[in-house]
Amino acid sequence: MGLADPIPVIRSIVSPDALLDRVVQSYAIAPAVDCRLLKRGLNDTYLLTTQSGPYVVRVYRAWRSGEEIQYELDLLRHLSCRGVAVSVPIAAHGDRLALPITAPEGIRYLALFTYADGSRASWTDSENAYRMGSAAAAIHAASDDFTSTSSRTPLDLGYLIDAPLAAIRPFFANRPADWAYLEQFGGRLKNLAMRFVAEGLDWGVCHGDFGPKNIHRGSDGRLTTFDFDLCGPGWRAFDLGLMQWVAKDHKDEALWEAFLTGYAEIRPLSAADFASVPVFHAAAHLSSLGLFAENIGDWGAADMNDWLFDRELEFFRAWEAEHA
Amino acid sequence: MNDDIGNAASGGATRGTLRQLPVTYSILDAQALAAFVEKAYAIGPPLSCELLLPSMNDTYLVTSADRRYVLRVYRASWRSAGEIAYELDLLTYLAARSVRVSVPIPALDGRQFQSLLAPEGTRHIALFTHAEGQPLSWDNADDCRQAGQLLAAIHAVSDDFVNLGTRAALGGGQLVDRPAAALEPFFAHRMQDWAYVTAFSAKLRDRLAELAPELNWGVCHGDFGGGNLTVDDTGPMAFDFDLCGPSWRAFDLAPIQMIAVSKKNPAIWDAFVRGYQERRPLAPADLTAATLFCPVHRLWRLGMQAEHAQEWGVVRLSDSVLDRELKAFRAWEAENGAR
Repeated sequence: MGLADPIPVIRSIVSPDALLDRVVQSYAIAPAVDCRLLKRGLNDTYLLTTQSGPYVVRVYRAWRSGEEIQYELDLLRHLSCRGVAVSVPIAAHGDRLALPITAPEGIRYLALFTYADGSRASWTDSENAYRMGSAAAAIHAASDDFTSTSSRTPLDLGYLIDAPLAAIRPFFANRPADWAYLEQFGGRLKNLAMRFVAEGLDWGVCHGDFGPKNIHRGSDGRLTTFDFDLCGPGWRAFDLGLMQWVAKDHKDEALWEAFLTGYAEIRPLSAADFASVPVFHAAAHLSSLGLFAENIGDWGAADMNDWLFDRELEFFRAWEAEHA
Repeated sequence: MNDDIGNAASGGATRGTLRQLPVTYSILDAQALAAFVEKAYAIGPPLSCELLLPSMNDTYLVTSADRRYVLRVYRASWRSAGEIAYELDLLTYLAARSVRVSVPIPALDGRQFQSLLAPEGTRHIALFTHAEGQPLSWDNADDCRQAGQLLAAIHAVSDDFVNLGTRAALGGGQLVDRPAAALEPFFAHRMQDWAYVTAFSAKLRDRLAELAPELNWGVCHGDFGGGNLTVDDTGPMAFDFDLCGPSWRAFDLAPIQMIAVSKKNPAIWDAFVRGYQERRPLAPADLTAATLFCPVHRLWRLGMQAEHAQEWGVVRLSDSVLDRELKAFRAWEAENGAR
């Protein structure tokens, strides 16, 4: 291979200037003045500034299918119509919600969203925690009758436990005892989850990555939720489990109580749903590890290190001591 | 609506829509890199290759049947061929004089680096020996002392290093003016803080101009201590000289003083300086100036984040990051006088 043959790439960052041009051509919005990359994550997020205010442009990764994206964007439109405060996709000319672009690694889609007013909502005051509970409940309540011609992989035990374990396994090649523990722990977690499922757990659309990082708080105190990229049908207790992770990290029970109060005032939560939240909290840790493992080709393997594994194993063991 | 999306990938859209958009940065395929290294270098095959850390450059771990290597893929438009040649020649020069550094391995064509065509432009790659051992922990006094000896060896040996490759001198312009200019747009909504940054960098410049005539100047590592040291039974080893260049040697000491300050452990600094002086004398002026280079180093790093924001995302310069950095500058001023 010489300089003349381009080397294949697995991921690229689209030039913000080129993206600005594409958006201006494709959407009926006020003249754009600036486009900059906000962050590189599972998808690439850009801040587009126009004469009438800011928007967010998301460039999806090549592996996110058009159908999966359509489900997410249909859901956001549905929620918005029902009065739920979410960042909504804006249709391009021709009424399309996602536009294909050609990147070096393949076809990727871009979507333009309204900017969620305000800045990151902090998990430090009970008013915010209460409102976050209401926001989660509003999403769950309003999505009960959501239908889409597109579908999404369900956030089931395969997604939450089996797939992450399979992705993590190679990283534990030199820690056989820890791997044996982790694999057995995954089995025990599944059994616990299935016992709750047998009791009857609420199932429906979940945000899939619910938490303060995906919620903005406006100057009037109102919250707006965004980034539904990991959404899908699942147990609603999983969204609460994600939030319990945040709550446990902050070690403030009062905030967690405020969150649950905010939720329950909008939408009832059965005793089984409530009791299963810790199981999904633990599952969220597993699926997060799996997400890192699946993305090392892009994010690098340096973060998948013994320090992280020690920390997570300590969490799982402490969790078992408390709940088993 | 669903059909529009579903069909686009299979050719439903017009040619115009499918014109490839320009990109600013890409992550190269690790398997393709392994295949390239197998052909271009006298190692392996078979080789496995894994991305370790995408950062200023992208670092890959290359593993053959019996050995590990580090492959660096330089960013396009970050380092010129001349700058890379300077770095790699320096490493070869240091290693030939028994300084413990990770060294570049020449390719079969004899060149120290190779060039690949990526979507964003030409990217150079270099293969290095792997620095074995554990990351150097500054909690061990003997490690601190040996790290001091190692930096002193780098400085002492490089005194005679002559190179035709180009590396901009890391003087006041590169270390203070350039980062300040790159940071300005990120303070557009914080006019008062920007006024502070401007005034503070002017003070740093003045103080530098005052001290400079007395300070030792020569090749510097540029990021000594920033996770670029490992240690095993035979002692520490330094790697990642990507930020190297001619500068004040006191600039290279600053990161260790910053570590000592952040860990609230002056013994780290004392052991490091003692080790350094065992290998190479350090004038009182250089030693004193290390403190001045702490905020200079911080500003320089922050400026690099600003210059790369369009590849990394501006969240790396969010208000909370800027708050943290301003707090550090102000704390330094309170501690060291606002001269």
